[in-house]
Amino acid sequence: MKMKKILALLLAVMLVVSFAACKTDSNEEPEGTEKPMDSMEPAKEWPAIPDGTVLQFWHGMSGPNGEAVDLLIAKFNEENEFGITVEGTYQGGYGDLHTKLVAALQGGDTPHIAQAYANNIMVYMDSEAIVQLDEYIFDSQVGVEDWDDILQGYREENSNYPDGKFYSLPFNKSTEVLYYNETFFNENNLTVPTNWEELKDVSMAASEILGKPAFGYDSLSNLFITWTQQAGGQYTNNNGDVLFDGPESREALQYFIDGVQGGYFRTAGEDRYCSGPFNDGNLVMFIGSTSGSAYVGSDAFEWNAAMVPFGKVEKVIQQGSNMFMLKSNEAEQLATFEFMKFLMAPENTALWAMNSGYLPVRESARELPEYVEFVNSGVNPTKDVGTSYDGAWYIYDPVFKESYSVRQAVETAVEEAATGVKSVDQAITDAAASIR
Amino acid sequence: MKKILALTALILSISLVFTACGREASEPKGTWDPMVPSETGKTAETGMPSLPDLDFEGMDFFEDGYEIVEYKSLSDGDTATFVVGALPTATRFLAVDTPETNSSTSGLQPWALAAKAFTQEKLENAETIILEKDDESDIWDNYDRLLAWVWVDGKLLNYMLVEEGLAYVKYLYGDYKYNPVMISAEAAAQKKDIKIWGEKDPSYDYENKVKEVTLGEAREVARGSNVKLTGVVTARIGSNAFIQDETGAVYIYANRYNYTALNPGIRVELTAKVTEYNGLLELTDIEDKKITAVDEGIEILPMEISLDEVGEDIESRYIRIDGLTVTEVVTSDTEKGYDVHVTDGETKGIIRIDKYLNPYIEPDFFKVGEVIGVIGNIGQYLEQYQIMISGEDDILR
Repeated sequence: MKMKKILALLLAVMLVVSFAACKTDSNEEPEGTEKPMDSMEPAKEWPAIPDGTVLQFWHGMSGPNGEAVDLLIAKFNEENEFGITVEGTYQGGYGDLHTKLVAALQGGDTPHIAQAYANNIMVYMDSEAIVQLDEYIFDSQVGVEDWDDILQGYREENSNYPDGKFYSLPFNKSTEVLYYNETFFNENNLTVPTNWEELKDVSMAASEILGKPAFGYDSLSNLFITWTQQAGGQYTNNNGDVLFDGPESREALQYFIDGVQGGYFRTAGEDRYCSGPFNDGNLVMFIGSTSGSAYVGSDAFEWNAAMVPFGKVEKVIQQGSNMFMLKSNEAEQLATFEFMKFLMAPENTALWAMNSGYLPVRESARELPEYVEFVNSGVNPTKDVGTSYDGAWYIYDPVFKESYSVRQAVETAVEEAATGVKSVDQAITDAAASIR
Repeated sequence: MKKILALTALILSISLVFTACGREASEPKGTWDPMVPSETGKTAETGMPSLPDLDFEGMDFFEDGYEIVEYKSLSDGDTATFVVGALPTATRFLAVDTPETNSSTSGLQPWALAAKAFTQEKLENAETIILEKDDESDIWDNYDRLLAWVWVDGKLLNYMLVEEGLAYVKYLYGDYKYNPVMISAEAAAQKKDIKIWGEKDPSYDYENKVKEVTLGEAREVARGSNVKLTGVVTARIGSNAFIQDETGAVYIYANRYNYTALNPGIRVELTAKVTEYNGLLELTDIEDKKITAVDEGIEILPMEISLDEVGEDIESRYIRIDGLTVTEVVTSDTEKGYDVHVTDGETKGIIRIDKYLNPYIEPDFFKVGEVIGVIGNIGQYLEQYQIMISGEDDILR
């Protein structure tokens, strides 16, 4: 009898211990993304990182962006106090990287850290080989310093998983800006538009001078997603439910289609990217990704970039992918987290932005003297604009596995409406139906 | 007995703690099926795959999925021309990418020539080459090249290139037949840090100092060399252009940037990289995005030639040919640019209408059967030399 009581007590103790140990894994919703350290909890004992730890980093960055990744890796290998060596491997574009990660998760050697879009990370999560990062990020000893300094939109996207926890961190981030032909604007006394009304007016005026549509939008899915939300509507949630089938998306798309039919807005169409006709002077404004700025330019005119014009609500899309950690052992995981923190440190994310097509992930990086100097040099006007957006304006594709097919559906809707195949209402109704 | 029970309970609950927290060092990975359309959950396979035991004699690539082919020529490490169904067909090896001999940003890349030499050696010494079609892949890529697995005397060339560390596994747009072994071979090469995965290419000029050259000399330097040169613009095609001097001519690829100096009759000066794109010699990666006009208003006269003179010797030259009959206008569903087939009665030729022409020339501008003269520059696409025109005025009626 006595023995049974002891046994019961022992089990009860074990249960309590097990819950305590699992606390960081619980399903409690985080309060926003700003989570205070739990001072009541005893400090976790982290393992020592053995000297000579080697980490594999799989990424999809080539060309100048690949060189920028190599630069950061070399800096980390040189500077880190733990003797960690990161080996970076370019695994092809995002699609190939994804396929190889899937193959590795099915039985090959997985890397310690990799780059991916959040919807793909959802796929990898099913393998249970992904490390949930909250216990690292918010730990009092090893956690991320000045966490709220990371742009709000990025923090939101990387915790937009079913349990509201972090399974990734922002890595290569870009956004959209309004590219404009500054010479043309000056010569014709035009003012850079800041809202939809002005965009329409300026486009009409410029189109009259040009004799052809003056404004273009590169990514038609971004157009739909951004303008719907600028009109006060919603896109989807992270269950994949369609939330765009309402009046706001119709107002947004109608606004664009009126411009197409009125001869002052256009799509990239057969030119594929608006930078082609823009460089040739056949277009004087377009909304495109900051990461495409390398393709913009002509020595026939000066170009510049400005914030995208807004509708009722200030919203602008964040693009690019994130980094996530794969399970290894505790010491290697901690080493991996050290590398993740390094990549997000103000001076390093600024260095990344100065050498790649992407933007810093922290507010404070924008204030660093070397970054300010770089921006002021005017080498690339999109960097200045990209870092002027308020972090709260950033929207992102809600995270679920099939988010990309929803993107394709709304792109088709814009194309069909722009080419007159369908009415605005029909195109949106059909897009919504194709997803349900 | 009870003690044993207690101990068992203890061990059990400890293991429960660890399992519940998911902190074990290694999780079982072999059984996971990601349920994405492009992957069917194959487990890792390794080693050189083998051809099925079939009689390939007389098989047709498109009908039967296999064909014994004849090797004609090589573009680079991952692209060759074979005779498929009696037609010379540019063929892109499926699922691999060798370093570029002609990258628009970096020109010649390390290991590109080694990859090309490897493929050349295999194909030239092959007794039997068999192309295999993959049911999960498109048959043609966006550049109208056939996509295939290439078997050289029973060995898969696509695999060998990866195994040697001379190619990346890339462009996996579907669940192709040999994806698992290709990915495994690549992982093994990466682990060994061989060639593209970490070795310095001994034949590559990593310093690459700028050399001042004539256009004729530019045609002879190693691909990837940085050169400074001058020439007169003979034609502009979209944002790109042809330039020429007494020694030769060359195409400038502007990568969408609009250089105003690239207009006919202007003598320009620039520093750029010499590359090759599907056979056409190009200047790319223009330094500081700067092309300077040093003189203008220079009269340029086309060299009068006949169709049978079209070839490498006069590539990029500004020429004129008269008395050509239009036989066919060949447009493509996937690409805006198109070919106009012509003949002078003996030799056949192609007039190329580039997709970037501005203003563009619609295909109905050409009428089959009409006799025309043409002014243009000699371009090349793989095995085919062509006359590239820059506008409607280049067609003489």
